[in-house]
Amino acid sequence: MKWMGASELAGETHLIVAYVILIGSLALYGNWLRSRYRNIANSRASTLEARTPHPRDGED
Amino acid sequence: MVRIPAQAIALLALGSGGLVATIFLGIMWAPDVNPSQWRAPAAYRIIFLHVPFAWTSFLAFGMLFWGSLGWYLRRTERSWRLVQSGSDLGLLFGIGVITSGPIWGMAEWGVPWDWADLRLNTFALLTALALFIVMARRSQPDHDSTRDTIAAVGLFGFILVPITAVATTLYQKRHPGVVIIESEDSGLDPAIRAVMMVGFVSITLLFIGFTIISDKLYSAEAEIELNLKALDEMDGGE
Repeated sequence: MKWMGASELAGETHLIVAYVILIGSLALYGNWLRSRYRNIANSRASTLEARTPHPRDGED
Repeated sequence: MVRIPAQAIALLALGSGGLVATIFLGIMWAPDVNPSQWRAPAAYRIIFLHVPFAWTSFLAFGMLFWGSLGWYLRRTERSWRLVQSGSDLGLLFGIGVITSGPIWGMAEWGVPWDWADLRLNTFALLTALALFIVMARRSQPDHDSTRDTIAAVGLFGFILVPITAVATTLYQKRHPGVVIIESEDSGLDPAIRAVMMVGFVSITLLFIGFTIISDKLYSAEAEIELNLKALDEMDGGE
């Protein structure tokens, strides 16, 4: 069977797609960790702010 | 405020550099395979990341098992955080393996999957198990009973790890056999094995860095949850 030529090119395409998916998944996971870090950093309840009065306290 | 240890950032930087080196060495330095024996010779270089991803996924599944066991024995938050990080990372690396593997299979075998191959299917089950645990953690209320159920799945699911590891030795249908142990069957070029080891070390460094950061974040999120509960109780009491 003749697989050379087109199949070799196809192999390279498969290689590029696989590498992009693998590295992309690591980058996405890293980005997800970063967004969680930002959420925590911006959270009112993350530090001593949790001990300050709740905004709804004045509504009553 | 959560603090990310500088060591974790350094590990991520080292791992990322190693990953770039692995790809460079895999493409530029590793030898070509015999084009007459392979259907898609270029695609074989997928193994330089596919195999280290698979090995690292076993580290993540091991962490999930250790955390599940710890939760049952001691019921500590630290054990539960191992379950959380282990299932996240098991899913990350598992998905990497079960996508890159079929891409190579499509190029080399002409089919992406073989339902009769033991290793392919047990590994897919392992990844499905990690997916189940991640989804269950996110969809169910965080009670001890929920954690018990999830830890039980993590404990009993771990049996798939040794089955997957020895699958190609016991029952090789289509997936290539063991490559790291020197044997007549493996016949792996030393340069190919060396690049795979660089890839494994690099991805393991990333895994350790991710684990440290994930653990810190889950710990901080649990603390925030406690603070919010305390605020709600203060509101309720007034």
